[in-house]
Order: sequence, then C-alpha cells, then structure tokens
Amino acid sequence: MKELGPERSTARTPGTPKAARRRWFFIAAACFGLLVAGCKESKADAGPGPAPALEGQHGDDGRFSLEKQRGKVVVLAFGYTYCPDVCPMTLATLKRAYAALGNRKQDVKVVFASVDPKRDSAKAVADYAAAFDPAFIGVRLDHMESTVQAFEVTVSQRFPDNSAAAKVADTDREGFYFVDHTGLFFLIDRAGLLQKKLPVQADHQELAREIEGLLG
Amino acid sequence: MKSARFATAGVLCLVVACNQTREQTSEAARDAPSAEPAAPAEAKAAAAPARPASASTENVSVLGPWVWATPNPRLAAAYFTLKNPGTKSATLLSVSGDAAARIELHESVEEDGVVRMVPHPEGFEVPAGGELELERGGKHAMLIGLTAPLEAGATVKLTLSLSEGRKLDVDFPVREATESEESE
Repeated sequence: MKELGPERSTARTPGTPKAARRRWFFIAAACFGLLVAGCKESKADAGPGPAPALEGQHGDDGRFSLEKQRGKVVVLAFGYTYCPDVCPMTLATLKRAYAALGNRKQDVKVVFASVDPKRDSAKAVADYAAAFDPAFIGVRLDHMESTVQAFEVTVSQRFPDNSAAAKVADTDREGFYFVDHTGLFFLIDRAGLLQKKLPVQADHQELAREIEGLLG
Repeated sequence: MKSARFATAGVLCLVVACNQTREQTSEAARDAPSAEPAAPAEAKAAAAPARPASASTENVSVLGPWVWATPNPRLAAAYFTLKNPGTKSATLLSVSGDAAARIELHESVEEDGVVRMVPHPEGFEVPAGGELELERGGKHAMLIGLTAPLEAGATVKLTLSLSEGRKLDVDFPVREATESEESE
C-alpha cells in the first residue's frame, strides 16, 4: 500500500498523462527488447556460437584443425568404423549431399571424427571416410573426450550383454563393443560459427540445402 | 514498483511464449522424419490380404536380401524383409553362415540424438499377415569378424532360422556402402 501512495499523488499533477505514457512506452520497449533477446538466446541452443576446437590426426601424417578451415563450410559427423549400420548410412548421406553440390564442393569440407580412438587408427578412420569420397577427411581426435564434450556429443562404450564379446575376441584381437554416440550433422559456416545441427535421419537433399544455405 | 511488476509479468509471458514455440518446432522436427517410414509399413500391414492362410511358418518368404559391405573389412550388415502371409506369428531366431565369426540380430535406435545398437538375442517377430523389415538405420543382422573381405557383386550365403525349426538358405548380394545410388 505504501508503494502505491506516491503514484496516486503524482497522478494528480498536470504532467501525469505524459509521464504515464512515457513509462508505458519504456515498459513496452523493455519487453520487446527482452523478447528479441530471449528468442535469440533460445535459438543459440542450436546455433551460431563459435564451434569448439577440434584437432586430430588425419591419416598417417596429416593433421586436421577445425580452426584452420575458416572460409570453408564444414560438415562434421562423429562415428566409428566398427559401426556397421548408422555410421555408413551417415557417410552415404554425406556422400550424396556432397555430390549434389557440384563445383561448389570445393568450399565445403566433410569431416568424420572417430569416437573410438582405441580401435580406429588415424589411417583406418581416414581410409574409411575416403572410401565414401576421396575428399572426405577422417580424423582421429587428439583429445576425444574433451572434444566431444565441447560439442555436447555423448559417447559411451558398451560391451554387449551376451557372450559375443568373448567369442569374437578370439578372431578380432581388439575385442568387440558398441560405441553409443550422438549422431548429428554439425554445420559450421565460413566464419567458424556452429550454425546448425541436423538429426541423423536427415536426408541428403535436406543436408545439401542446408550446406548451400551456408555457402551463400 | 508497479511498472516493475508489469514488466516482470510481461517478460514471463514472453519467455513462456518463446519456449513454447521452440518446443513445438523441435517436436515437429523430431516427428517429421519418423512419420515417413512408419506410414508405408502400416499401409502394407493393412493391405495384407485376410484370405485363409497357412498356420505355420511354411509360407514365410524372403524379399530383397542384401549385405552392406562397409569400408571396414571386419564387419558388415545384412538386410532383408520377411513376409508372413500366415495366420500365426513367426519369429526370426537367428542368422548364420560361414562369412563371419559371429552373426547377431541388432537394432539401431536413436534417442535424443544418441544412436545406440541394441542386441536382440531373442530374435524378431514376423507378425501374422505382416512383414518384418530389416533395413538401414533399424533392425539388421550384424556380421562380426568377416572371414574374408566382401566384394561388391559377390554373394554371401546366409541361413535364416525361424520358429518351428524352419530354415531358409538365402543368397545375399553384396553392395558396397560407398555405392551412391543406394537410397530408399
């Protein structure tokens, strides 16, 4: 009640309508500003902050650094070569999207980063990605755990519950396990901003459209 | 103080409105891709004839078998469709063959963006009057520890074991994961 007092008293002064209008205008402007800021912020969940650092080995003696790709659009996917279904599907989608870009593909880098450094050597992951398109870059990350964390990618090794692991270990020295991982396409623009994440089910046409959008 | 209260209420409304829009969009985005493959499967099941059919797994047949040879020479995935015109549900118990040290029934599952492989040692049901589809990004037979690298154009002999002791010997043509024309 006390707080309302001064308002009432000022309401009797001649300058009141103007002051009230000004106040309302201020509130409306503040609200509008907050609305814009709020919506922008929620969009930022999926988007345009700088992409985290990503560095690793590409092939026997190549190096890859995401930071050095400024000026190119980068499409990044995480996976592993011991994944028989979803990862080759992801790369097949990338292959088709990439092919659809025609001569604009020179401005696009497709990167496949392994989440299984134990089994995937730098050469294995490079060969794997290159089997889909010679221009694809397979990377064995220098610091897999901190890198995937920065990209908010979940990675967890899981040995099958049944006896497969033990039996296959006989024929496959490295043993056998699954690597559950976030299957997203990360789209990074020429300025190094992480612009978009597309779900693993995205088809090559959608992917190509999004890449073209970033090429401008 | 009054204006502060108004402002707070206004901001709250706007924040709620913003969040709602976002949730709806993300829901729509999530639903969109999954809705597509579900529709044809339902349509097929509904279109299955209701005419009298065998009550055993005798009439279960294999459609479109193929093996996807990934660039990793140690493993591959096999896909096919089992059609069951009968009135009794059947089960695909296992897939076996000399091509790999071990063949397991798996399903790729995506949850909140995370892709997991779920083993199904119990097998997959082939519903009465319906189909069981093993396809990319879903159910598949995983060939672990290939005895020899697979070459596109070659065939792999696999045996599908069904309930009631039925076995189907099937030739699976090999396709490379890198073939660009493959798509649904």
